[in-house]
Amino acid sequence: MNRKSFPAFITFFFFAAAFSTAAHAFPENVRHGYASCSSCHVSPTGGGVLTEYGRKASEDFLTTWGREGENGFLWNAVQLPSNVAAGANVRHISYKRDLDGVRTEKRFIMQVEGEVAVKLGSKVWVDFSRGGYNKFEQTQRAYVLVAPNDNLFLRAGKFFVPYGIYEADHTTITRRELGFDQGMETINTEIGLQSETGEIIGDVILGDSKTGDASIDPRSKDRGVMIRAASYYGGKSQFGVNLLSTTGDFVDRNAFGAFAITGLGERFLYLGEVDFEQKKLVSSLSGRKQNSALMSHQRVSFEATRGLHVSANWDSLLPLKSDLHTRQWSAGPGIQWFPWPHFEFSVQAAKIYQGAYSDPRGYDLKMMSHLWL
Amino acid sequence: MTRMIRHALYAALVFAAAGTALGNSLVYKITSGTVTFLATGKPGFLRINGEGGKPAGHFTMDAGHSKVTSGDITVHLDAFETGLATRDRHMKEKYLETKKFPDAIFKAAPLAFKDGKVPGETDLKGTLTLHGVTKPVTANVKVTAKKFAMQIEADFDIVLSDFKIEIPEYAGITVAEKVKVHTAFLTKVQKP
Repeated sequence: MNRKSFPAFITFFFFAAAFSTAAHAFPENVRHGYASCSSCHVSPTGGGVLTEYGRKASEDFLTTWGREGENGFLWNAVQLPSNVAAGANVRHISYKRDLDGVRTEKRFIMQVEGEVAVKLGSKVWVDFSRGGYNKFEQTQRAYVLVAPNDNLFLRAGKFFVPYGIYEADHTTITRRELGFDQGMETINTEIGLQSETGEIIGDVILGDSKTGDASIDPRSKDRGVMIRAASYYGGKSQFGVNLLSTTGDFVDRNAFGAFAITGLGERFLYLGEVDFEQKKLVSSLSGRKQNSALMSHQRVSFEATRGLHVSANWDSLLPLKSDLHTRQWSAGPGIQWFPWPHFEFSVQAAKIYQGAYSDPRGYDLKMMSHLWL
Repeated sequence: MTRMIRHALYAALVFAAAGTALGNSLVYKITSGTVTFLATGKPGFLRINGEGGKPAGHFTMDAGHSKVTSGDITVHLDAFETGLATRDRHMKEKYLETKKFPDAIFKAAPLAFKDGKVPGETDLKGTLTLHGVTKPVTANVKVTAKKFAMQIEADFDIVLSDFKIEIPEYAGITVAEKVKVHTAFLTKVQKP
């Protein structure tokens, strides 16, 4: 992004946020009135196992075809007790990249996981997941959640802190570069206040190398705080801001971001996040290298028919003061289709730019299949 | 404020002229409009927006346009949709029982305008019949006078238990007892 286009981009972002009419694993559902996640997910910040309502409601708006009860656990073959939510996910990816004269092609099962949550009494959930993630075996979510009333929740355990827009695609620049990639959940304590008009969520991050996956990224060991404030607007929008400050063995960093998710009419959705991150290497051997960068994830999608979404996607990282990063961006179309309950297929093609390579321009193609039980 | 006074004076002139033609009262028929509601589901503050309701009916005012003498608005409840087919089915069959109680009917109580002029905003009392139960309600009403017509917007809350409507509950989500109702419609002076 050059200096001329940046102000225009910022103007567009805040215009979209301010005049929106409608953040999480399926943040698109905001436009159906689900501004908060806890109607459909056990986790109040989204992602993970679905509640009974989440399974039933999705039959009405998520898939192209389907009959009542079809999205039940194991196609409703097993009736779970009313205080138990359970699910499983299998994701397969086929990935091609053409960059710097090198063609890479991979196909692998990137996720096989199960998760179960049990409600104890009327106010306490205990959640646990276990799975294999491209040869890593890991617990990505394990927490105790207490909701004394409709407006307050407290949580402790392992999960992603709710920074920005939480999508299933962990490869977006904002997710990956800010430390929320696959397997980077941390140990946290969390307090959340929610109302009809918005939410404020605060986390103390107690990252732990035995649980956060430091083998994937050393930032999983970092400790710090995160604050999220979001407003629900017009019944079909959510927009908000985030602050993140962490310190670790390798990097100290501060990040600030704003996001918006909004339905544009009946079929269009805009989803966008912009983050500013500043970080310093801790090691004296590195000479206290510094970095500040502006990151962005933008998507406009159109629901051609129920369950079939066509999108235009734009990700970018613009180094502002950089010893650590180079410029990168990707842009291209995508298709996401939920034909029946339990099945998802998606294709994303992108022209990419990776400033670290001698020939920085290339192409990506990702095809993903997802089965949930 | 000046604009409001101008509208009120204009409306008074229009109504006076029409009133002369019609005799002692003026009937304003609803020609177009919408009725929507907003219910909240918990946990998660799920927003359930009901749309599609169309008001029908009329208001009667005295020839001097100093008061509403009567009013009658009917909304066919089967017209409402919330965006989810299953939820709509439950709402109509289980909770509103629309086959048994197909309409919601608002009857306005007489309202004398302060200073004898059509107000920009006022509280209008009346009764609402819903689910076979009639209860008093008070709506906050905004009036915009137009040529031989009035644009009216009204907001009021209903409490489900007042109308003997079971609190909707589905798969762990419970709807809050208070539901906000909004209506906006255009009324035109009926020809004699």
